[in-house]
Amino acid sequence: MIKKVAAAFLMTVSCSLVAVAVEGRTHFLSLEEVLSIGNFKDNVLFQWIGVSVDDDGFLYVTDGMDYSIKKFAPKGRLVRKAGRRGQGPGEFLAPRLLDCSGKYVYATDQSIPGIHVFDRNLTYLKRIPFSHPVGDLKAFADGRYAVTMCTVGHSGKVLLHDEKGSILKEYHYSDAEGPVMSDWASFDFDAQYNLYVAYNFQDRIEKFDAAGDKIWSRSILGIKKVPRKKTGPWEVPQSLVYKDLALDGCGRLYVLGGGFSRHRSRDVYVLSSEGEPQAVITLPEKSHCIHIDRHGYLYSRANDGITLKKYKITGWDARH
Amino acid sequence: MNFHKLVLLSAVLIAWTFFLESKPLLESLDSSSSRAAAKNSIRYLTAPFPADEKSGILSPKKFLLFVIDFDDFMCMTCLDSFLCFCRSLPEVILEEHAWGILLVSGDAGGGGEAGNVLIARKKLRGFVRANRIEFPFLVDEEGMFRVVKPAGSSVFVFDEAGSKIFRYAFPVSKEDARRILAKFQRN
Repeated sequence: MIKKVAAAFLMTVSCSLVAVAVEGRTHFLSLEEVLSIGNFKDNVLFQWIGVSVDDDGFLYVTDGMDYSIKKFAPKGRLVRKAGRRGQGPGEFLAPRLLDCSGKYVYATDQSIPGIHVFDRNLTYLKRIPFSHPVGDLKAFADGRYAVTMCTVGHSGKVLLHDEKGSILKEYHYSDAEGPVMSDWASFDFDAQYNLYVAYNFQDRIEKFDAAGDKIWSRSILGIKKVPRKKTGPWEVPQSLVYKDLALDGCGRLYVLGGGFSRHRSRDVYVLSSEGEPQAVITLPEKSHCIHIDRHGYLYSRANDGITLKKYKITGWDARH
Repeated sequence: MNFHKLVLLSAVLIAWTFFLESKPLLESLDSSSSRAAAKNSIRYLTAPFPADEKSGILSPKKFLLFVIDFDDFMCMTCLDSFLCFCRSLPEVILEEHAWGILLVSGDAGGGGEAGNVLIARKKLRGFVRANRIEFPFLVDEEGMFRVVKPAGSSVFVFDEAGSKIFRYAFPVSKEDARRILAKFQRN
């Protein structure tokens, strides 16, 4: 009996030490809720998926359950809604990602390859066609936008477009031969056009400079291999390692962990721009994505997508 | 039966009656149209009446039951299959001969079973409104249909004699859709 208790104690202590070592946490951050949109009774949000915030603090959200895109005032009042089910102009079958630039709001549809473009009053403007569904999307203030594609082949590149849709640059972040979907990733750019990539099915987070040269690569969870299952002709990964990635105005990187994290879909790993682990934030509820606005507020999901939460991140000391 | 047992039995019966009145087993969504449609459908179940001569289809005992798994609410292919199938049917069949049940399980929002029901209710409300679904669609709050969950989202077709139930899993093929429609058309 004593041996069992001692073994359990040692196991607990060693697990804790490993966890702390893996996370390398140097800051103890916490979240303070400052806004909540959508509850069980209202008809505001049914299943929000993509979120973005413009420079004036207006929030834009795609809602998969009512095939729409919605605009909220900074305090959370719904001010406009656009879209319905369909394949015509401004219509959606499965609205997904969303981002906004100085003038436009961009939204993707899982079932219609391409990007719907709206103005900031959610008036539909045009659709930019693509050959494959968009995997991730980033819009810049000057009208440029960048995308990755979801393909079963090797898709490890970010395509940077100008406002008219011409490709300005291709960032090849992955050229290694690997199993299907291994180079699917979330990405973001900082103000100097450095590219940050978090692989969805690999334990890899990487930074590239504006020329496309790799600066650093990190594995923070120690995952060697993601289990796969035969699905049709492919061996498909069974769990996400990293679900999303966002940057704050100070150049810090926030990466939402998936099924391998201690708190599944709740742990957010914070890294410096040099890739050094800074902290781990645990969201109160599971989320499929995170967003950081220009003031450093964090947005995530609650109640399985019928609620959008906005948090202030507290705990950074004055030096940060 | 002695007196104590009689008193105990009476108490149980009273409590059971109270329970049934205060907590309907299948609670409808909070919309007057759903409630009205639900009343009509109950009429079908309890008091069949002659077929509608104008539409030239239907036998009042024929019945479609859509059982949708909450897990499929994030699967757009599954929902599309359901919607496409619904749109392939004449409106009169859906309006007068169809019900939907949404199965709830797991702990999607982290709020336990009660939270799950609230989440399911709200998502269903959004889905029903956005797709203009006119037939009653209920959340299986008490888990009465949990036994059919392993079969996945399906449509159950009750034949006119009430003796057979056919199940078709989503996505329903075009051939199966034609087969289901044929069951509703007059020979």
